[in-house]
Amino acid sequence: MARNDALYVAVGQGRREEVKKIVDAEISIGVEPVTLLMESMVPAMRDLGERFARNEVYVPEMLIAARAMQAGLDIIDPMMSESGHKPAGCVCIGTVKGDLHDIGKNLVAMMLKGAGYKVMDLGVDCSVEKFQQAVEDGAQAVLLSALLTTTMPYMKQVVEHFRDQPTVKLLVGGAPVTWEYAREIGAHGYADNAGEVVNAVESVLGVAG
Amino acid sequence: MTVRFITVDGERTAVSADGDRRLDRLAQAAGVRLNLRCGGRGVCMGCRVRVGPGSYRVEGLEQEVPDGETLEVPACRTEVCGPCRVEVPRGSLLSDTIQVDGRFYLSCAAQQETGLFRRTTCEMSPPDEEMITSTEERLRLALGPKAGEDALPLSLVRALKGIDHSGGGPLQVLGERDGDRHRLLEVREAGNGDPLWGVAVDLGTTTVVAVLVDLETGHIAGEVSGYNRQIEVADDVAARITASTEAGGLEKLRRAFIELTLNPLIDRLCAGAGIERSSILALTVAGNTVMQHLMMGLSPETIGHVPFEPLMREYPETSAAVLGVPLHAQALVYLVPAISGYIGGDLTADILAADLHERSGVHLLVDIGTNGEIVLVEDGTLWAASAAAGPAFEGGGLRCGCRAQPGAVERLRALPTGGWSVATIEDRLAVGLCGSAIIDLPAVLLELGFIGATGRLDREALARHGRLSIVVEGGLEEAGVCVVPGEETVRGIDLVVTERELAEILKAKAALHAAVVVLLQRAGRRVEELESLVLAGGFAQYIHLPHAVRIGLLPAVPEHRVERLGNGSLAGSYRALLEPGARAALRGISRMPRTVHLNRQPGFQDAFIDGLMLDT
Repeated sequence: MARNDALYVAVGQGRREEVKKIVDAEISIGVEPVTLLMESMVPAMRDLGERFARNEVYVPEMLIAARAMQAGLDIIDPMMSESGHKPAGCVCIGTVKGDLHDIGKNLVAMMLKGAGYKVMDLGVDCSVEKFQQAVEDGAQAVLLSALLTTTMPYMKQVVEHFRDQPTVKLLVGGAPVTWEYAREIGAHGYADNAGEVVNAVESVLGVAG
Repeated sequence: MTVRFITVDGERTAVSADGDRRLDRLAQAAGVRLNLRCGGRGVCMGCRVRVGPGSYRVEGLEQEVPDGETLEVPACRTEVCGPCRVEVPRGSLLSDTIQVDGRFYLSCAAQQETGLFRRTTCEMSPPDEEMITSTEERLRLALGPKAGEDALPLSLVRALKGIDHSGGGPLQVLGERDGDRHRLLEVREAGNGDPLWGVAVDLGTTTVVAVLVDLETGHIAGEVSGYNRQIEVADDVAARITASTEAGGLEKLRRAFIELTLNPLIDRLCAGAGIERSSILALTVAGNTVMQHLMMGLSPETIGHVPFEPLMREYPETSAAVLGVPLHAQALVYLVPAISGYIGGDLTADILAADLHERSGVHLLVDIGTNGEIVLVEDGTLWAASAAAGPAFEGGGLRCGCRAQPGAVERLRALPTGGWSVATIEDRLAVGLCGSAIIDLPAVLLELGFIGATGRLDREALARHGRLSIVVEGGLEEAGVCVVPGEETVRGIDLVVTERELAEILKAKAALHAAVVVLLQRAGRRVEELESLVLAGGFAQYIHLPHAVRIGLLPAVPEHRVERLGNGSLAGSYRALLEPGARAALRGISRMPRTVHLNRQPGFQDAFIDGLMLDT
């Protein structure tokens, strides 16, 4: 079975309307939503992510494709929870307190959804309490994003907060954030760009099984 | 450990204390100002130097340079491990001959209104043996009710020394008058014909422009510009906010501006006009909010996070002497009030300069600089947003980007041959691409079919044209376009822009594009309804409008509706020096706009993603 090539290509090329059309059409002839997701959409985003890591595509195309993927997800997500599809893992993500930037964070959320994770997107200006709540609601990893050097320090506070909950894994990212900074504050993982996030999460959580 | 720097100006040394071994910081300590355009990220190669025999760490890797040899390295990515000798080529020194435009075009058609500062005469009656009084009281009487009830300022009376007032007679009075407010500045000999001088400043994050102005005629007697030396402490606005929170950081930044930037600029203005600093009666400054805070010794820390509230938006007029700027004893420094944490006095000044607050209809003002601000006006209602476009348009973040200077590529135009023409400032050999050419590039590539809508280069087509470059960095290949071949450049190296860098340009223009779309949405207006598009900022002067529209940076407004303000920040600052009522108008303007937080607008992300594409 398999891949719907037209859908695979439409996601990769960021053709939003076409993705919606194909998904609608396939659902109406009885194709399982999970099949569309796992055989066509997830591979499209994953392959794009790999090309991104190889400098073959850049952020603009990633964002455009991610938006198209989201359009498809919007249709099938409600159906997925009914079918009892098991996600690869559950993570939460948010831009830290004091910061409003979210486009990069949204892209990361999409890459993870694209890899089959359940993602709780907590939005922007997120306090420690918000992340704590998400963990209590099932998040295994907490992903922190900051776009300003002035808001980065809040990441340290969040990491400190979870120090006595060692099963909760913390990952950080964002333009001013570096691998050295991640180490310095004691985060468990770091990704330099959206294309590397899935790998980072997988290695920190242990490959989902 | 001693490091010797050999430059065209001679030799300087720096001694490395145990902490810092980074070559660019040692250079700074030695007084060698390197071109750190990309902010120390090792991207632009502007700080390349040639190191002699010794041990180093370059990009984190050990490097040994044997006796008798040298190695070219980027100073910002190199650490020294022992005493050494470093040759600094001329091209790596921060150029003092940057071109920053001080020109501006004021909206008012008539002659520039003046009168804020003026000279008048008064008649002092001779001393009367019958009366017990003092010279100061006799003078105050002569000055009339505007002198007020209290004794005159000390400096004013001190300056009476040298003026013959023993027999009474006429005196010249210099004063500032704005509505009901009077301020006496000086009393001079009646026949004194010296002009009254003031200085207006545009305080930019990267560059600062100052003009010397005759306060009675509005004539600009001198113009100087230079880098804001705060760059050496911290590169961009966010970095400066962070640096200001470190111990001693705020003071360091304040002094970098006042002592290393502003005072030298004023000295140059005075030298150029043959006047003394003490004859400058007033100083006005317009700049973004963070810069204004730093200048006044105010912490910009709260601007760095939600809700981005500045400590002050309006500033008290402060004695120039108190701020560390020696001018006339009575000189006060006036700062144009800011609109919000990210939309500063420079925008308030732009709005006044364009008279935007008084126009009817719908108008859009775009100020493209290190940050990118947008104001939408409709019949007295203003919306403002800050787009944080990033440094791409000022040449930052690009390997071969540079500021406007002799040799900067400023124009690219598609040719019928399928290639493009290159024009540089002063027709010199190319040094790099500056802002206007950075806008031209994607437009030209799009027109010639070398680039797709998402910024991907057509490698085959470029290769056929002999303009494909493959750049290897960190073990990965990137495709790039050779914009100017080596033989036409000053260093003999191709000027290449990679796909990744093109993606940065797309992101920068998408931010501005999305800001425009969101503001129009908020106001419930369409692009077609714009009566004018006002472009402010030095770099906006030189943008080729059709290209800016083609790539989706600016909305498609017909050329006859586009106005170029030039340096609007300087224009507003200039008007605040001359016109009674200008300062009140500026205060009113600063309170008008509703600030829009783009990230919080539901349509922003969509507009941003749409805006990423060329061919919007």
